[in-house]
Amino acid sequence: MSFPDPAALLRHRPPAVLVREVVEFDGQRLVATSNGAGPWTWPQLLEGGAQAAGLLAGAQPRGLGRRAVVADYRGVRLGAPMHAGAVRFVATIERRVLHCWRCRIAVHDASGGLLLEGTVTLAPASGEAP
Amino acid sequence: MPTDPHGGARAVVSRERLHALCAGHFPDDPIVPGAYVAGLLAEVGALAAGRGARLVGIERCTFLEPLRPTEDAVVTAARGTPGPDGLGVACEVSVRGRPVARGLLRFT
Repeated sequence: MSFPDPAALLRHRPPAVLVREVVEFDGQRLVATSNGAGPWTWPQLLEGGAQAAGLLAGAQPRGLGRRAVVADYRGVRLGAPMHAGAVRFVATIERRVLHCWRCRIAVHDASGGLLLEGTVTLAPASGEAP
Repeated sequence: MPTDPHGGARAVVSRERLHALCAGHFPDDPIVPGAYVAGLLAEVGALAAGRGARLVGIERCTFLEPLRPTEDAVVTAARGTPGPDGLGVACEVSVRGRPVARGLLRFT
């Protein structure tokens, strides 16, 4: 498995880059390590999940560009309001909706415990060709 | 942040705070990350939900347009009816009266 450096793909810059390295990728699912060990608020965990989803959606055939935006979050379940320690962000393609990509996201702690899960829909930026 | 006795809450989020939320996102075009917008909805939603309310989930949060830190934003929340999945609170963030995001959050 070889996946480019997320920092080179994402439009984000520190301190907003929450994913560090993609450690698993099979085309439909991507797992990334976190940049640092927190402590993380739940919005940061959710944002990290969205960044992992953005990397995954960008890697699809006719995938999204780096200016993609979050269109919505759905069915987000929170395990804890805060977490201290390194985490893993997991994104899985759910389906394509018109020009958008809907992904399942989950965030796990170092022992595999689920901290947050839900879905995110990513859309091309306004005016950007899908 | 004022609340009302009917289960509603309203707060003004300064553009300075919005700007702080945009650090690194993105240097050439600052936009508040959607997850942090959801966090703002949750802060005000918790006031509407009542003392001791705990956020357990986001049923949906839809972004209508980017939230940029150029002006103050207003967040409103209205408490719904308790159900088996908790108390639903409908929230909205707007700028100059124009909605930029809406959400339905669940509290216990």
